[in-house]
Amino acid sequence: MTFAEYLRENWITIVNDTILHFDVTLGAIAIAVVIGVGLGMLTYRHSTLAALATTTTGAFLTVPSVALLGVLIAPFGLGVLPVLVALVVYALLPITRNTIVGLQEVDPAVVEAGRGMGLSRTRVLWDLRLPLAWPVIFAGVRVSTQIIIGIAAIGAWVQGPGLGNQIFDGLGRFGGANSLNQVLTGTLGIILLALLFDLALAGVARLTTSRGIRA
Amino acid sequence: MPEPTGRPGETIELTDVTKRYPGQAEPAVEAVSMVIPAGEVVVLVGPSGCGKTTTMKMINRLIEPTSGTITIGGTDVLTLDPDQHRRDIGYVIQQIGLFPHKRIEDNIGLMPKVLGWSRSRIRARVAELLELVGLPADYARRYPRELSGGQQQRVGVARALAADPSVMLMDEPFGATDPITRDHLQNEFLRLQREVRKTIVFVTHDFDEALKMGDRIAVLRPRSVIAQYDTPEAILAAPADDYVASFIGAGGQLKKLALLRLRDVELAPAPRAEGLPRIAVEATARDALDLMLGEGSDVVLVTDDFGDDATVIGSLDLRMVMGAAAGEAGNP
Ligand SMILES: Nc1ncnc2c1ncn2[C@@H]1O[C@H](COP(=O)(O)OP(=O)(O)OP(=O)(O)O)[C@@H](O)[C@H]1O
Ligand SMILES: [Mg+2]
Repeated sequence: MTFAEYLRENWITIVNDTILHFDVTLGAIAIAVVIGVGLGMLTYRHSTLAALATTTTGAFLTVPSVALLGVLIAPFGLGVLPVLVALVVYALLPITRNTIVGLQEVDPAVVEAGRGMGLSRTRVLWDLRLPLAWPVIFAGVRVSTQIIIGIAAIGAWVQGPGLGNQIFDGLGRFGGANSLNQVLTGTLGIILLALLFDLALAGVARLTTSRGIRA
Repeated sequence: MPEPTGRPGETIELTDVTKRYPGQAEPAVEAVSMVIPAGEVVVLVGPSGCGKTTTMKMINRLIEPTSGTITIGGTDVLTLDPDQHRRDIGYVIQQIGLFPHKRIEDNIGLMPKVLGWSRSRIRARVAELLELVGLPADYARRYPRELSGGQQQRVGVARALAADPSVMLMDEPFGATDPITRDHLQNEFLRLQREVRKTIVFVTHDFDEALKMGDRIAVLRPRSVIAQYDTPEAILAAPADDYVASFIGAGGQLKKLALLRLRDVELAPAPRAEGLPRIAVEATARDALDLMLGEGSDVVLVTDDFGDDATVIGSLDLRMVMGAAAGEAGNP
């Protein structure tokens, strides 16, 4: 069977895998944004805490994905849950670090003007720092997405959802019928999904950034 | 012109105020005492690093004094909630510090919004303030980066006035502009202050700006020690010491004349002679001298207004200008 024939015959499964791959990535990013931005907001003012947050989330990223997924089976079983948790863990560093840097690097004159007119610290954070740091934070979100969209493929190893299943199926029966087509489908699918995802995020970044600070 | 708004200024009093930054041998401000009378513009002038900004920020408690007391309208500011306290004080910082992600209307309207004003009241206030600082109404919808530096500084002043504070702190508010724009902003500001009558603390490096803007000037030495605190006229007439004199610099006599409006000079009756140069009563004695030198005439006619059809109300000659420079002639 040629690659084109394989696609034509299996398109329902492939589309389904792609959607699930997208879903688990999006879910993980959403959770990672809440945790990472929260962590950044809590720590950016204290250099030691900020360094601790960056180092810790950075250390997560060095754990091999197979090892992490394996460890997560114990508490979370097989399927989507361990994959989701692993992806959140891998997505944290860029989001947390960019939140910290973005919040710290807001023009001190803007903060002084805000404090000077009587805005509370909380208001300065929500009304001034966060919107001004947003482009930097969102750049972190985009990097995280690119990182975990590939890692999500490994999730198939613990029976997680997504295009990884194509790859693992293919590799498991290597040399067998359609094995190469499957690996190719999974790999190209992920690359394509990553491109489209990034394009969409670029659009969201534009929409959620004030026109006054847009590049 | 919109109605002059709201609250008049309150008296600020500093008593023995000292600020020692942690880890510094010398205090940045040492035992400063001064009274800033309600409704007046007091200019702090002194060399870079002498403690002007530190002194000013202790008034709105962006910096807490190490010792001493500061009262506004008789209330010790240390007894107030800092945020609440700052809402009664307009603050214009040197770097302008507009919020780049907010439109001009939201920059000006942020504090009123926090205070819970209705949308229509905020919109009206923004329009009123833009007119007051001489910006077109449609600038409300712009973002800060769509304005020139001088326009941004005006927005900074409008924003500081938004919640109608009784006190304004202005740290080199016109520092970042060219001489022509600065002169223009200064004139507008003086016009504005004649209407609003706030108590204003104004910081500058520029002694000529201090002379022009201040009802009183405090010439500061390092550590904010006051070298002389008096009206511009009194400082020019009798600098306390060489340090103050060095600030006045060259041309002290001309500076004195620049402070004297013809309105305040006793004029001679207008001579019958034709073709004498004319000058408006709003001009200064220095402008009159300049006109005399330029036209080669030792007499000028003073008119009640600008323009050719203004009425002549008197005349001024060189001898009278010299008298004014010598001191008493003009002072009412
Ligand atoms: N946060 C700080 N920590 C330590 N020292 C400071 C701090 N802020 C200011 N200083 C020091 O205090 C002194 C007074 O500073 P300040 O900013 O009040 O001067 P200034 O008169 O406003 O100067 P300029 O005209 O350059 O703005 C300076 O010697 C400065 O180095
Ligand atoms: Mg300063």
